Amino acid sequence: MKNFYYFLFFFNFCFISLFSSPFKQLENFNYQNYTDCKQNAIAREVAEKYGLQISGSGGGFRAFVENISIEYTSYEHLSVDQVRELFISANEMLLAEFNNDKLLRPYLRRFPCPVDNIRIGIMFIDKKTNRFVDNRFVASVGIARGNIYYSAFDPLKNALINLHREPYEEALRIIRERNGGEL
Amino acid sequence: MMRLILTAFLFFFTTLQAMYVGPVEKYDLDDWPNECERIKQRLQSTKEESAAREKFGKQLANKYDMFFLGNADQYLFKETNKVIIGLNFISDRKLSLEEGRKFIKSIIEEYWKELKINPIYQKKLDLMVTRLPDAKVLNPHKLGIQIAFWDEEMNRPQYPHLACVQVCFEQIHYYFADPKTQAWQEPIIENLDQAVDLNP
Repeated sequence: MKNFYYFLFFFNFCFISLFSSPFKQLENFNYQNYTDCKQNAIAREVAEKYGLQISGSGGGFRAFVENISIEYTSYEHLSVDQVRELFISANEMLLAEFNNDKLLRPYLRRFPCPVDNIRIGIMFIDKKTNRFVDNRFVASVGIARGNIYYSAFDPLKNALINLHREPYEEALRIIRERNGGEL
Repeated sequence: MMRLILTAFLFFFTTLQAMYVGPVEKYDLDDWPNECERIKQRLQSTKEESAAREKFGKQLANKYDMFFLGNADQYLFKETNKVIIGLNFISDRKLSLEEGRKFIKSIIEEYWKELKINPIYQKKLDLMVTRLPDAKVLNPHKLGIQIAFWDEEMNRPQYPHLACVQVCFEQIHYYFADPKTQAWQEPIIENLDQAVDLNP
């Protein structure tokens, strides 16, 4: 009798493995909640790793995951070179997390998720004045249409001015060259 | 002076745009009780259409052993200024280009039949507020299907197996995956009327 139950269990296991869909796990899967939770978790991870503060997050995942955006605040005074390293590391970490998530892959509008669909922005604030850091340093960095824009704060105009612009791929190449192929 | 030039340019540009795509349908605020009723009808029709499409998508998925991801619109097909009534599937089949052609042909025929038979789709288009030309005509241009192929490990099948088939804007796009990155390569494009006879 015991053998019969073992057989039944084994038979059921084979039957389920053979005829169940590999997408069974996607049934009743709420990818919007999942993406939201994942985004928040990664945002926190990146913030802890690089000493940033999350100032906002959002994205577009109405019918599929279109884009993800996270805004950070930093109290550091950094040059373009330092900001490039920070920005690329954070962006690549986010990209890898989303691209390697197998549950989410069918819901990404484009897989692998391109750089344009991940929008990170970092603002650099002076802790004492509670304003943007002075114009010797980068005050803000962001990405748009595959280009990274570094801005400085002009106190006379009371506005951000363009400091430097470079394609994402170029920045990635510079960081890889400097770190011997690694990020 | 600069402001004047800018204003004149904006006026000229908006007039030209209105002439090109037609006037925007406006809410009739003087007749607000009827306008409210029309908005209610529009919302109701959108809900009904969405539910009907989902139901049909699930039926189609069961029949062809696929998984129904959801209803799709023009945003999935990278066009924001067109109207698409679409379905989005995934499947674990490994199909060559020829097999993919046969597979998609029967799905297109069945879906087009559903769109023509069920009046709910035309009703939704009729109630749309739009400035797009021909947006209210149910034609094959509005037929949208995406079937993305994934294996058990959620990786894209490699050549010679198809990674995705898309039907949109009267074209069928067959995509193969890049062996390194798994990104879609440039698609093989076929015209819909050459592949399927939608007016038998």
